[in-house]
Amino acid sequence: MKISDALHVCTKLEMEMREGRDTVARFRHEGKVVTRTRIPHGRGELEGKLPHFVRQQLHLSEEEFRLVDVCTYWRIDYVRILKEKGLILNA
Amino acid sequence: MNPETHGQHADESDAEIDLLLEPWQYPAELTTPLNAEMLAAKVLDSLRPTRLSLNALLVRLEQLCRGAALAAESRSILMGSLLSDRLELLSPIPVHVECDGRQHIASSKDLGVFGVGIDEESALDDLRLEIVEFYYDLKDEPLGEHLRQRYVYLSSVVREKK
Repeated sequence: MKISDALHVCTKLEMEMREGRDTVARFRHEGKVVTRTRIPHGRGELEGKLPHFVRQQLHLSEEEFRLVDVCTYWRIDYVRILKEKGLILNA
Repeated sequence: MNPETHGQHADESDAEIDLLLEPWQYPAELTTPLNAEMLAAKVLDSLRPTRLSLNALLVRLEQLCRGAALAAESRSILMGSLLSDRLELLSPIPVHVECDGRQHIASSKDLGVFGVGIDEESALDDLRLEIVEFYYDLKDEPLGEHLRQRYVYLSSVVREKK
């Protein structure tokens, strides 16, 4: 996974991004922070098991992450996924 | 190798090959190069699924070997200190440390955070910084239930230094 892909996904999901030691992205829904991930700064690529950890923090499967990355999924789809996984309670 | 046993194995292999070739029953014209080539192609074709299965098996075996090697390089420990001037640990946090062949990763399943580094110590240091950042990042925020549970757990095992 390229760092640029991970950042692209966070941007598409309209996450709050903060640059520091690394990039920290938080997904807020109805005022509450629901997911938070950290994208380590490196040499352009998240290698080894790091993509797994980033996806895990976003609660996205490999396929779901890919769908967000290649434009099929947007914020509204992410909310639906988080609801299906019980991270956002249905009103 | 015992020559007798070796001979027996060779006989068995020959018998298997004969069995494979049986459907084509060696036509008399087989002696021509063209027909022999066609037969060879058919035999190769019939062996393809076996070759694919063997390749898949080899890939799986390699994965298992790699997994076993990596498992040997992963372990669970208790992190006893955050080495921070802002937060101190009141009780140790279970941490998993592993090497994925490219870097070392230290992670806390309970907190859902990870640290990364070129060796185990630097991965643990990175995780310590991340835990402190995680705490202050979420401290004054309204949180979804999942993150709230993680923050509640973290709050129960750390104390802010005065």
